[in-house]
Amino acid sequence: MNCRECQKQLSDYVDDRLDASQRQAVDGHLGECAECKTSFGLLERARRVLASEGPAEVPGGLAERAALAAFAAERAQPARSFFDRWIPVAWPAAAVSAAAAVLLLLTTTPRTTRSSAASVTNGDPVRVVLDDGDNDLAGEVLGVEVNDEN
Amino acid sequence: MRDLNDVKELESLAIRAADGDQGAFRELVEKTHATTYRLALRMLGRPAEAEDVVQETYIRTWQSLGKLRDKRATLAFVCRITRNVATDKLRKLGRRRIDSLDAQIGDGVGALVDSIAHDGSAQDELLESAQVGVAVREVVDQLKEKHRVVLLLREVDGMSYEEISAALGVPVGTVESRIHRARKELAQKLERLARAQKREAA
Repeated sequence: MNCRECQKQLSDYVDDRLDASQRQAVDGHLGECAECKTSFGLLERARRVLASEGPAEVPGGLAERAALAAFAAERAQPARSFFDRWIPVAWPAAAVSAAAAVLLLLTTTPRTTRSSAASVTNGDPVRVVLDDGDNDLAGEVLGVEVNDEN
Repeated sequence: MRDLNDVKELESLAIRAADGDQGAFRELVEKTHATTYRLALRMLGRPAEAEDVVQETYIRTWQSLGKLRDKRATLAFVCRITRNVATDKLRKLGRRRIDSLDAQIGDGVGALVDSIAHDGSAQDELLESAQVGVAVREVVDQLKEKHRVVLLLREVDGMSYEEISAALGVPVGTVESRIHRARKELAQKLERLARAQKREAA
């Protein structure tokens, strides 16, 4: 085993992830190469320094505080809860009303004014509100599911 | 959450929590918050900020859990929110991670190089002293974020490769290669530091 191979295996070596023959080869190289031995010694001691800090203590009561914050944040957003509850019902109702209004306009308005009636329908403000709402929700889900780790 | 075989239980809690069961959500938070807290801490460096990130994480989780289709991926989902919140926080603060030990780092590096300069054979004792601990942290802080976070989760928090993989949402192979690179760089930087000081002293 040469130095390059040894350096490549060192991480798995310290984590005891090598099989017996690979481990023996690293042991053999460390026994005869002062440079790799120094490098291994520095790594081992640095690891010991880091391990001596011990796992981060999780602040007491954090889980309870986080859960309560989540419930409180939900209560603090009544407007959003209202739309969440009613938009699924309101949207089909609004769509049916709009369709009925268009039908009424088409059957009762003189032919020359039909196009302007249709353009008003296309700009239906209910539709715009729903799109915005959908985008917000999609963004939230996408932000969570699509943004990948570097 | 240390036991990743507990996916089934977490899945069942997530299904109930998504239906508005607050008790189930509390349990879900209880089982995952150690992982999210450590992840946030290793990304941000300060306990108070990590705590803020954890709270925001569960606010978003409670609001969006219903949209997670496969509830077996709950831990990955929660950890991803944690990473997003922590990344946003870092961006807003306009800085890279700051460690609480920052103030002592200059002294620690000085102690490391001074001692090596005066006694090259004293590396072993040296690297175990408190001040050298600070010097090691200084070198760790110079690592790229993706390498540093993996290294700290492994060496300080003692998480397994599989746990880190779940927390970061990357394959185990990626965790392996990041740990390998981080360790290699750590040893090289420490070695360079010691050699440079020896040269200066000579």
